[in-house]
Amino acid sequence: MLVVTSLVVSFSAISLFVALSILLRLVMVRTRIFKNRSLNLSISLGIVFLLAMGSHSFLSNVPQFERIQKASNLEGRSSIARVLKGPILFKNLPLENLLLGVGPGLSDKAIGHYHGEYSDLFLNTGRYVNGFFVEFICYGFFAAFFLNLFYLLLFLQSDDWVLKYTTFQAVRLGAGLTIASSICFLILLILTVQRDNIFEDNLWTS
Amino acid sequence: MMTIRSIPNVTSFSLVFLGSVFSGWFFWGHGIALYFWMSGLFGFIIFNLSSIKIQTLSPSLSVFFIMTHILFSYSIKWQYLYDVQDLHTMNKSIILLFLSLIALAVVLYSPVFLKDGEKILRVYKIVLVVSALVLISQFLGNNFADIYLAFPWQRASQLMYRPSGIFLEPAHMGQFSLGLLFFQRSDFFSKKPKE
Repeated sequence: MLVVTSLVVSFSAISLFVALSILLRLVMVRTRIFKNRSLNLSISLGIVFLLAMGSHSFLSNVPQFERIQKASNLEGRSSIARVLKGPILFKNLPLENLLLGVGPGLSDKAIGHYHGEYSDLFLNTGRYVNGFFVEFICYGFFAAFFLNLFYLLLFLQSDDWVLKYTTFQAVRLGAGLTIASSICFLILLILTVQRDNIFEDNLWTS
Repeated sequence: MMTIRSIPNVTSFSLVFLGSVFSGWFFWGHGIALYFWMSGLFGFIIFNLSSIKIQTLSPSLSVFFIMTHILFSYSIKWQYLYDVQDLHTMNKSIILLFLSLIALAVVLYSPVFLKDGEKILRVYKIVLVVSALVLISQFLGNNFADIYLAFPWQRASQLMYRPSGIFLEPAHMGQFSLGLLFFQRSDFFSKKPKE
């Protein structure tokens, strides 16, 4: 709860999303009222939604919270650069770059192929693209596909992998979390430490 | 208790962690984080490589080989596309990408790393709790006593101040905390790891 509280008061949309996900899992693990898992999940989601609404009404008076509100409505330059820049640049790539990538660390090369309303904003934000799409833009479709498959297989070795994998990819859609970033490597390391090989063995033999 | 055997993996973990904190400082033309991070990655590879055990070709290992093969072939093609300045940036990214992937694959199949897992989780939890305490202190200090608490490596403005704990920016704290979500159900509630 200490970590969740600290994430809420850091006034970052990503931190708030992670805090809510941790809270959801916390409630999910603790909620065992019914035998039906989907019913327990619905109750957990309801509890977390109520908590989120409560904290929203409390925090909306704090000026820094406006940033999160803007981010959740995809308003503001920062949110556009974090969330929309990736898919827009990827969509506008020529077929060769789409399949083979523009090269690691050179996501700014993709901006040259886009001439829309956000051109200036994209140029100003340089190489910053969200973690999910930066892999597709830099390494190309095939390599990024296998990279995401590799992540999925790592998550399959863990319990509650759907929630974990969904949250991981959702965070990557708004933050620069790629395999070539130290924080991403660290959290995948934590996942690796906590793994359980049973699922993958079953997957292979079935 | 920390044993001598677990020191290399815990040290490597700590080095990669320092690499995620000091990403705003530069030394010899590169971010100081790069030195910490690469040392940590090399540490993981060197200390776990001799112990890896692969009994069957698992799906994750198969995908790893396909993926690294594709990336390696592309890396050769990319070398002919750009000028020296871009090549420098690209090669740095390629080296980091391959080191991260190899380190991840090595620790995935290393029983030694699994044995040190509890120690690594303990370090992770300590860092997370310390950072959370620092962040809450920064928030309380700023909102109730008008004190501006920021470390020299942090990008914080006094106007619209957002606390970051010990990290460079608030979002990094959020990303690092994502590891907490990856804990197994049995470890999710424990106040300290099982011995």
